[in-house]
Amino acid sequence: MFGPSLRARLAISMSILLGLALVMAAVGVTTLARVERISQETLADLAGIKDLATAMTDGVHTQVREAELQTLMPTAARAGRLVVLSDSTHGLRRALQRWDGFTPADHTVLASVERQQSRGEVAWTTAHALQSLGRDADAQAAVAVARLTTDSLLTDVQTLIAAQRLRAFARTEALQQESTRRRALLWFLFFLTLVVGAASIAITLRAVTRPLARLVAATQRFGQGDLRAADLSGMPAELAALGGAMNLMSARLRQLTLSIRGESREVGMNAADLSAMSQELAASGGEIADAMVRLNEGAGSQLMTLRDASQQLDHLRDAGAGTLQAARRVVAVGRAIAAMATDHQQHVRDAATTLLALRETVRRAAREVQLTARLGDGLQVVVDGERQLATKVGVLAVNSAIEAARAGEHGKGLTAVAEELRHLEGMCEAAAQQADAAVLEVQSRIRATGLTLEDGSTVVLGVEAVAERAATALEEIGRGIERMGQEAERVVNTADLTRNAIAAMLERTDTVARSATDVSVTGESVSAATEEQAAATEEMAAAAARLNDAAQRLEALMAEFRA
Amino acid sequence: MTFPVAGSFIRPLRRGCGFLAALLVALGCAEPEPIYLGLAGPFSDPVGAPMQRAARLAVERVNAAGGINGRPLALIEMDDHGDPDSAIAVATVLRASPAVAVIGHLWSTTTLAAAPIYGTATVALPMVTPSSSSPEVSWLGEHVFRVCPSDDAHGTALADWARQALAAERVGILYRNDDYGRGVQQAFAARFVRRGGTIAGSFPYLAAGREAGAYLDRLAQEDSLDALLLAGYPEDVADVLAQARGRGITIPVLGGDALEGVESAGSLAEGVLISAAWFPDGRTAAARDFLDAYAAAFPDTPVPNQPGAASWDAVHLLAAVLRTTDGTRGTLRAALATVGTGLPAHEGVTGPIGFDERGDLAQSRIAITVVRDGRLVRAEQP
Repeated sequence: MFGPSLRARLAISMSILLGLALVMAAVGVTTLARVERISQETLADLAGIKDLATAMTDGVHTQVREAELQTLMPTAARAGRLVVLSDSTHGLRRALQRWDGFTPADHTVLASVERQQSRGEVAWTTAHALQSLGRDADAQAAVAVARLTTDSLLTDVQTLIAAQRLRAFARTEALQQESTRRRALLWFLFFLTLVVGAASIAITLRAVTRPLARLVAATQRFGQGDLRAADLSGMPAELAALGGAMNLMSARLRQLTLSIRGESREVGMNAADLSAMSQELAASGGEIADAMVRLNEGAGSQLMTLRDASQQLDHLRDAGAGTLQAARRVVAVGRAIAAMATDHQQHVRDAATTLLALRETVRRAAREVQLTARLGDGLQVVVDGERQLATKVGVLAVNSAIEAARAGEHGKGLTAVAEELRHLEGMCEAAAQQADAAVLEVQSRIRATGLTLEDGSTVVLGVEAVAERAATALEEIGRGIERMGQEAERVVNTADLTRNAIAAMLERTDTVARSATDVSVTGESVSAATEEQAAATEEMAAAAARLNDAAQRLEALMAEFRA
Repeated sequence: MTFPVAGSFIRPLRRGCGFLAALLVALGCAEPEPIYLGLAGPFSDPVGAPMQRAARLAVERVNAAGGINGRPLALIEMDDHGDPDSAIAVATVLRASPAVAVIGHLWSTTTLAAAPIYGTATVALPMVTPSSSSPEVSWLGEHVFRVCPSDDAHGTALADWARQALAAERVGILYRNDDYGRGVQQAFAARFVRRGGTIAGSFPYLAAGREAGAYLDRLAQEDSLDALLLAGYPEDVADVLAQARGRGITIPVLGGDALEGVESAGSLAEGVLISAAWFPDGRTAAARDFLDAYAAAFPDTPVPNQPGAASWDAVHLLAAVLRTTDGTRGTLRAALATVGTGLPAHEGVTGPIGFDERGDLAQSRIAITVVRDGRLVRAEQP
C-alpha cells in the first residue's frame, strides 16, 4: 500500500552510491596494487633471473678462463678449483630450474643448458686429460668442442634471459592493457556513479516532493474546512505516517465538528427550554410571592384565631374549674346522701324492726294503729326528701351534660357522669316512687290494718315483708349513692384532667401562635427571596436567550465544515 | 596404461588424457570414481620396467583389498624415457590430469626437470620418486618426496666402505656428468677426504663414455690408486669397465645404486661393489610377500630391482595415506609430510618409510653388495 520509506530510499540510494564508490575505489586500489605487484614481481623476476643468469654466465666465463689457464698451465689446485666452479655453476643452474616463473619451454632450455654445461665440462676435462697425456691435437679438438659448447651454453642462457625479458615485456604490455581496461572501467564506473547518483537524487526528491505536495494540498483543504481524508497511496512510510496523522486529525475534527453541531443544537434547544423555564420560574416566583403574602395573612388570621381559641380555652378552663367545684360538691352531696341513706336504712331497719315488733304486737296493739298512721306521714316526708334529691340529681345531670357538651371530646367522661346522674335521678325517682308507693301501701295497709286490725292479726304478717323490701330498697339507694359518689369523684378527676388538658392546650395554642408568628416572619423573608429570585430568573432568561443565539451562530459556523 | 611421450605427441597426448579422464569420469557415474595416481618413468628401459610392473601389481593388491574407502586406485602411466625433456612434457600432462599424486620419476635428472612443473599446478601435485637420489631433489619443494636414500647416503656409505673394508687411500672417480653422477661423486669425495683419503682425480663423462679412455689413461699414470668409483649407469659403466680392464686397471670398482644391473655385463662386472637401498633377499615378511607376488605375476622377469620395490612401496604408502584424507592433492600432500611424525611410518619392503622436513627418508638403510658370479650378493667386510 505504502511505498518504501524515505529512510529506505535514502539508504538504498546512498548504498548504491557508496557501493559504486567502493567498487571504484576497490577497482582503483586493486588496479594500483595489481600494477604495483605485477611490476614488482616482473622486476623481481627480471632482477632475479638476471642475477642468476649473470652469476651463471660469470661462473661459466670463470670456468672457461680457468679451463683455458689449466690448458696453458695445468695445476692440481686449478683442477680442484674447476671442480668447485663446476659445482657452483651447476648450483646456479639448479637454482634457475627451481624458479617458479619458468614455463615448460624454459625448463627445456634449462635442460639444454644443463647438457651444454655438462658437455662443456667433460670437453674441458677431456682436453686437460689429453693434454696431460701429451695428446695436444686431441686436446685442442676437445678445447674447440668445449668452446663451442660454452658458446652454445651462453647462447642458451641468453636465450633464457631474452625469453624472460620478452615475457616481462609481454607482462608489462598485458599490464598496460589491463590498466587501460581498468581505467576505462573506472571511467565507466565514475559515469555510472554520476548517472545513478543523479537518478537516485531525482527519484528521492520526487519521492519526497510529490507526496509533500499532496499533503500540502490536503492541509489546505483542511484549512478551508474540507476535512475529507488525504490519499496516502504510494507515499513513503514517513510521509504516509505524517499523512496518517493528518487524516487522524481530520477524522477527529470531523467527529468533533459533528459533535459540536449536535451539541450546539442541543444547547440551543436547552437554552430555549431554559428561557421558557426561566419565564415560568419567574411566574412561579410571583405566584409564590403572592402565596407567601396570603400565607402571611393566613398566619395572621390564624394567630388571631389562636388567640381567640386561647381565650375560649381560658373560659373552658374556668368552666372546668367550676365543674370541678360542682363535682366536688356533688361528691360532698353524694356523701351526705349516702350518710343520709345509711341513716334512712337504719331507720328502715328500725322501722322494720318496729314493724316486726309491731307485727308481734299488732294483735296486741291494734290501737296504736293511729300512731302508726302518723309514722306513715313521717315516711311521706322522707319520700319527699328523696324526690328533692332526685330533682337535684336531675339538675346535676343536666348541668353535667351541658358541661360535657362544652368540653367536646374531652367531655365524654363528663357525659358519662351526666348519664349516670340521670340514671341516678331515675333510680332516685323510682326509689321515691317506690317509697311513695310503699308509704302509700303502708298507709293503705295501715289503714287496711287499722281497718283490718280488728279483723285479724294475720294482716300484720305482711308488714315484715314490706319492711324487708324497704330495707333492701334503702340498701340499693345507698349503693346507688355510693356509685354516684364514685362517679362524682371520677367527674372531679376528669374535670381535673380536663383542666390540665386545657392548660396544655393553652400552652400549645401559644406555641402555635408563636409558630404562626414565625411563619409570618418567614413568609415575609420568602416573599423577599422570591422577589430576588424572580429578578434573577429574568436575568437567567435573558442569558438563555443570548446562549441560544450563540448556539445558533456556532451551529452555523460548524455547518461550514465538510464532514 | 602407458602413454608414449615424444615432443610431437604431446598435444595428442593431452587431448587423449583429457578424453580418457572424461571417459573415466563418465564411467564413474556407474561405479565409484577411481582415485588416480600418475606413474612416470622410463618403462621402456630395463631399469624402469620393474617400476611399472611393481606399481601395477601394488594397485591390483590395493583394489583387491577394497581400494581407498571404497574407491579403486587407477594408474595414469606415462613413459618419460629417462629424458628430461620428455619428463617435462609428461609432467605437463600429469599436472592437468585428475591424478592426485605421481609416482616418479625414476632418475634424478628427470625428477629435477619435472618437479618444478608439478609445483606450478594450482594445487601442487605431490610426487613420490622411487629412485631419484640426487641431493638436489631435497630442495625441489614441499611437494616432492622420495622413498630412496639420497646420493649423500650412497656416497657416504661407499666412502666408508672404501676406507674401512678396502682400506683405500687414493681413489679415482669417473662420474656421469649429470645430477646423479655429480651427487654421488660429491658425497663420496667429501666423505672420503674427510676420513683421510685422497681423490686422485674426478673426471666427468657423458652418456657414451667415450671420454673415459683419456681419464683412465690419466689415472693409470697414478703411482698408487687403491680404488675406482664409477658414478654412472650400467650401460656406460660397462664400457668404462671394459676400457679399464683393457688398460690393466684391476683395482676395486665401486658404484652407486644406479649400477644395479651391471652384473649383466658378465666378467667385467665381477667384483664390482654397489651400494643398494634394496636387496631382494627376502629378509622380511613384507619383502617375501612382494617377491612372491612379483614372481607369480611376472614369472619370466628378473627379480625386481630397487625402482620396482620402491614403486611397490610408493603405491602402498600413497594408498595408506589416501585413506586418511579426502582424496585431494592438497590434503594428500599435507598428510604425506606427516608420515613418520603425525602418521605412523610405513613399513615397506625397502624398510621403514618416514619423511623429514625436506621429504627425504628420515632413516636410510644402505647395503653394500658385490657382483659374484653374475649376481649381486651382500658384500662381507673382510
